[in-house]
Amino acid sequence: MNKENSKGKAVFKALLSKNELGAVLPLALLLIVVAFVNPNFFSTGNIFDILRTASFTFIVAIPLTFLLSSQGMDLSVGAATSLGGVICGMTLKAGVPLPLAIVLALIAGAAVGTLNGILIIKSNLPAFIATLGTQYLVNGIIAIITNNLAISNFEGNFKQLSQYKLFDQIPMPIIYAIVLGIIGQFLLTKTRFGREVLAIGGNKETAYLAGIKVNSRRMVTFIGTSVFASLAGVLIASRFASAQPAAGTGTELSIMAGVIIGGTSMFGGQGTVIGSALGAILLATITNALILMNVSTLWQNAIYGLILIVALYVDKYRRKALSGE
Amino acid sequence: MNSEYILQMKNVTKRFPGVVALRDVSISLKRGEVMAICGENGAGKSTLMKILSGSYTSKEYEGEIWIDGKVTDFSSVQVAEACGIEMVYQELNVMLDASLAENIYVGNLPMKGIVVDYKKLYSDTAVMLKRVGLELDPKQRVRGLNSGQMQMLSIARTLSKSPRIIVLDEPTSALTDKETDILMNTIDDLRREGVSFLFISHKLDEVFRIADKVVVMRDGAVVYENDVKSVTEDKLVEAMIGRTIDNMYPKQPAQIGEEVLRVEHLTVPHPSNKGQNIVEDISFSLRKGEILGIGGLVGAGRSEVLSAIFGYITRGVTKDLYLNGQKVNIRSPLDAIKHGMGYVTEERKQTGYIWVHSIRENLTLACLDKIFPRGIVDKNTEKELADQMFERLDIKAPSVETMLVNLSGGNQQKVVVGKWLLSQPTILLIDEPTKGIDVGTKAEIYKIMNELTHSGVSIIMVSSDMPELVSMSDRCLVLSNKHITGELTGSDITQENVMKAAIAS
Amino acid sequence: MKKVLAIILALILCFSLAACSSGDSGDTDTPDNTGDNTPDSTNEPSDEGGDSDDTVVCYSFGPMTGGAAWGQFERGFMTACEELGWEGHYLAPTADNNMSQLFNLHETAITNGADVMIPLVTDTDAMSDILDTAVEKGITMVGCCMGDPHFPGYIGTDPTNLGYTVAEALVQCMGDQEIHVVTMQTLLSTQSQVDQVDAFEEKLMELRPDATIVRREECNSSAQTAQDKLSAVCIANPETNALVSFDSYAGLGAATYVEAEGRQDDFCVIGIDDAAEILLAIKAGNMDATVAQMWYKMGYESVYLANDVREGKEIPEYTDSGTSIIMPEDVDAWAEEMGTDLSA
Repeated sequence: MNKENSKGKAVFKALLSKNELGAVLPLALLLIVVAFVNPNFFSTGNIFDILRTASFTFIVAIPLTFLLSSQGMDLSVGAATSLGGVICGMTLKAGVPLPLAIVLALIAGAAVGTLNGILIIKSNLPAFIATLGTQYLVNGIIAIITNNLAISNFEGNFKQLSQYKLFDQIPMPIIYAIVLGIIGQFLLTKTRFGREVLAIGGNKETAYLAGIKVNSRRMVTFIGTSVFASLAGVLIASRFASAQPAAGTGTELSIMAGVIIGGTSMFGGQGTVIGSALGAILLATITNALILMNVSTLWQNAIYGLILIVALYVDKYRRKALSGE
Repeated sequence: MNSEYILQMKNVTKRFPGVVALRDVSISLKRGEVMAICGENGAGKSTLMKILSGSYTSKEYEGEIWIDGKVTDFSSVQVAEACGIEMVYQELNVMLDASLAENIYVGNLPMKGIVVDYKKLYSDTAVMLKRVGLELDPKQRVRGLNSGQMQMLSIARTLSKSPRIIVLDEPTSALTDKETDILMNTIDDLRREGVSFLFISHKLDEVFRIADKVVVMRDGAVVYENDVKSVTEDKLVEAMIGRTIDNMYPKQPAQIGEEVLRVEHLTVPHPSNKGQNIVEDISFSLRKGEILGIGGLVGAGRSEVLSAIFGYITRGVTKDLYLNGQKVNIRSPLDAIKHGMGYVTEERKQTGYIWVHSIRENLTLACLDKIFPRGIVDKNTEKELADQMFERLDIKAPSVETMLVNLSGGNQQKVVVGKWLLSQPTILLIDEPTKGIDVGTKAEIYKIMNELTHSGVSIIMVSSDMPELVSMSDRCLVLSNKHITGELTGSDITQENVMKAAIAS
Repeated sequence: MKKVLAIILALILCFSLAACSSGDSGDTDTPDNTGDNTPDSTNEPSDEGGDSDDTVVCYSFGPMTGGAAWGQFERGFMTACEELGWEGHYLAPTADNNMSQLFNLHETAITNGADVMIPLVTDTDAMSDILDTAVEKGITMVGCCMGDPHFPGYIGTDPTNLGYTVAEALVQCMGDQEIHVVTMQTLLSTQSQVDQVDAFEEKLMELRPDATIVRREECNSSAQTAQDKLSAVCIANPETNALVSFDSYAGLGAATYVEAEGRQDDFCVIGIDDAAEILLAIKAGNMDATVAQMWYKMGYESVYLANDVREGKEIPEYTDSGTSIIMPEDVDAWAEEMGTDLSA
């Protein structure tokens, strides 16, 4: 209203228009608090620890950003993660060379994604339940083929895939995540594919009438999600030199939460890969920061939940303020 | 205290960040009076409604509301309801899988102890249904009703609450003429019982037919107010758009050329009645530069014809299409677009635009080939194309980056039309080109259609707006009872002839 | 292309189903009916098949199918059943550690005509009604891991004993160094683990009054979480020099931490159980020792305890299946005894 305020307001408005605000604000607050309590937080080692944790989440969050912004949903990513690690581990043990073992793991992931796609796109089943079904199915298959035993003791340099540190400092998963993240953000914002995915999420019918191949694009998002999840599974198996049958169990909801906190709309049409990266970093930071501030673990879940809710509120307020209501 | 007025709004001003939606609005409504409120989209009518319904609480705006001559604090929706104010919204808001009775008495079911008194519920419902001219079983489910019947159902729901003031927002946009008549009679009856109405409408003939008083709003302010008896249609239109228009329908006939599209043996199944066809074995053709109007009553299958030609509906459809004499196979919208077609659908929100996307993204949606050469965005081309169209259509918004959700209906329609202009079609299918948009924008849409035909584009236009159909069509087909029951050309295209064909069987 | 993928997918599914059914038959076709069982199951009301009339049907339960620990339990249980000529079934939830499903499985066993049950009572109150029904139907019960008034006795690893053993292992490994230890369990809310950790702390204080407990942590059976949390704890409390795990993923995560940070010489990890990857971590020097519970023995002896009950013998209220500390020099021998494959 006042002229003095107008500049501040403009800045505020520009800030509001950033989808990523929901993740940035709580993250900034958290960083400020932890900086006062324990400056060790900002040691290089710890920062890389957090980024590494976030990387595993983020690699799955990239395709999920596409999937959620096309109004999709996938509860089977955790299972696909486990499957990727287990298939890679089993084939390695069987003497398959590493590159081929990784490819086989990704193909297994693609099979899961294809199944999801067929169920949801072709047969028009509700995504929430259909992918829950796939989740059980895949977990069951894993239990059968592994008898729930971890696969470990690999020959060769499998564990270097995740454990190697670039310049003796930067864990490789961070590098993978950055490269894939840049590709993802480019795909989403600069390519026809990204535009089509967002249009489908914004309004499937409008997109179809405008000549967009809706089914094929949605199929790609489902397959991509499972493929990236199985890649994450391979990397996790490499990190521990052990492919665990339950490596991805229970991760699906927190990854999705990270994507949504980052500013990707659950209702489709809007997505940001950068936001998903921030969401993943926020989630990793919460756990780390709480320990560094010596907050009892008993409190962690409560605080974790609280921060998620705050992040969602920020996002909701932002959207409301923007739409002028 | 007894006052002549049942409702008075005094100097109401409502601000949004950066915009004044209502500017010092004062209106006074007498008992048993029907007051029409006219204005272009974005004139402030819906804000006014939200204030009266209590959706915007009294803290959020300046000014006072008086009920029965007393200041009343509209602090919540409940206050508005207690004052006897009821809203009938344009968007249908019904529970599809509940019975008619439950829809009418939802939240207000007659009880016998702790159980619902179904006997009373159904007999009360029957009375209400009769009142709005619906001859249906109260126990029937809503699914399967057409949109006109659903609209009448929402009106019945409103009546069941015995309101003193009813606010109707474009109540007839989904209604057939017969249903409109019933609604008008119902309003007349209620007016005699002392119920007052605020009647928001774009349709001036209805205003003249039913209203006692008319208020015109523009840019959030009341700019004109008079008894209906002493105004003319021209005067109202002038007040609404703030300038004089010589001719509402500036049809400029274009050079009509060769046949560009021939549709033969088109059969489309009925969308809800299984085993039935909505149109059966119809054939017609379209010529270069022509506007082919398609008239008929709601449910005659006009929209389905367009959807089937465009490949949007394919299941159960049989058709032979010839483009410039060549047989073509169109199995999806993508095929149709490749053959140079465009399709402006009737339901903008459901099938026309993406409300969370910007004007730019919506405009370029059907010409992604141009802005993504080799799959990667060419930002300059995109910006150029979007800006051009933004200016050409004179879309009223801060910039091309404004989201569609923030635009008025008229401007949204312009964006949808602009999307198809950018794909440069040779044949444009338009379903209800001006549904729910204001007079000024209507004229602009007609102007665009004229420009298109002059540049050689052919248009098939479905319209329920009789004057529009009559004056814009070069040739007019009328559908009724699954078949083409009339083909009118030149001076034969009159409202009477269209109507006769539309009720023929 | 899509069709090809669909076919591949279908093949995978068929393959897995085939694998599933063959696995089942391998487990259930084995009982050789020698008739040395006591056919006193006359109060068994819901006999369906004629063939089950004189065969004792015995059910046991675990929180997951297979797995390093429960897989061994299942093997021990099945072997004992086979020896006695009983029909053995091992039931586990479809989702690992799904407790409510685990309760339901107990009911399933009762309705399917169990003669003997080895219940896994993870929650005494929640399972009370189910166990009442079992008692009414005259089903013989011997507990596993946890005791309950509904049955005469149980076999398991005593949480106190386990905690004590872990403390002893830690003290043994640390020699005369200072001890600043983190404990890590599955969930802070898992009662049996809380008992183990309490006992560990008590014993540690007794053996080494100068030791400090840096923090109690949980990792929700995720090696990633375990490693991440341990890193953070060591930054917050740089003096930390040991971790004892009460969850096998916690040990794995800690071993990975040691390897990544190169702290083999100044950080001590005590694992739990004897899964292959744990034994390998010890061999590689990233873990100092592990405390093995005797899962095979638990499964095997539970069946013989139940047989004793059926024959009217008294059994002790608690039978400790025991624990064993595995030091680096014991690994190979242990693996051979357990049939664990440590080869690459």
